[in-house]
Amino acid sequence: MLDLLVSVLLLVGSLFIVVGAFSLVRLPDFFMRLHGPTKSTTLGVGSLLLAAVIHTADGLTLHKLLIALFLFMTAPVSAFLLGQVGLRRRVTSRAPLPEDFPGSHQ
Amino acid sequence: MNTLCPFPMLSVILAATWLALAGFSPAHLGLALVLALTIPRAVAPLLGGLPGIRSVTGAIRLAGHVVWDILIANIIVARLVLGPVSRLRPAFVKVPVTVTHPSAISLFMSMISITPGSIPLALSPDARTMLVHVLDLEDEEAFIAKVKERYERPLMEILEC
Repeated sequence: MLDLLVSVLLLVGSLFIVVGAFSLVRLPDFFMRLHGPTKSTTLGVGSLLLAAVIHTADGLTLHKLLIALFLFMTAPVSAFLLGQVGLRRRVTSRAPLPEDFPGSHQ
Repeated sequence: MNTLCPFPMLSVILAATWLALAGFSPAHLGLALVLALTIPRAVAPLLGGLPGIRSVTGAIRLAGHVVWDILIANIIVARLVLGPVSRLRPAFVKVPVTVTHPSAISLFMSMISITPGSIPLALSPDARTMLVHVLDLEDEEAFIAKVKERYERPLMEILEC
């Protein structure tokens, strides 16, 4: 029963990571592609880590929760920095780039 | 107390994290104490004071909201990405920021960022407005109202700032 749950979580996690990677290929511009990685790090990695926690319920559980915590803390920062670069270089974007936003084109 | 340990909560979290990563032993306990006492003092000038937490239950409820939103938004965004890309309506949205404490702004932006479909990309120099890229925007007003109501208002209630 537990094995079934672990398998389902592994499958769901892998599926979302694949979708996240696939979106990098499918989406047409830089800013839209930024959305792919946020998917795989949240639900994808979250499901894989949950599967690991259930599969090996021992003293190492905290380790895995910390992995999730660190990812959740760092993913927004890297997305923000990538976005800043995109805004400042005014890369091609399907959504009209804001002309008047202070701080975005210094 | 205040100069030795400016952020007690941060010190406790650092020590607990170190022990969880390194395993518990007397030597690591000593090291954890050293880290817990030195790191907060080293970064204190950068943090400029941390807001206190007024409601622990509120914080847990907000965390629950965020986890739930991540689940739902993941499914919605996965469907958007796999469906016809030409139908997506990407847009930059300017979201007014009401919270003023740097930690609160950072948390607000992080929560918008980890829920798929929206990523904050810039903050105005006066920290009153943030620029958010939305993958598929239906209604700008509704989006702004949603993030402010769901993430920012609870933050204002939880944090003393």
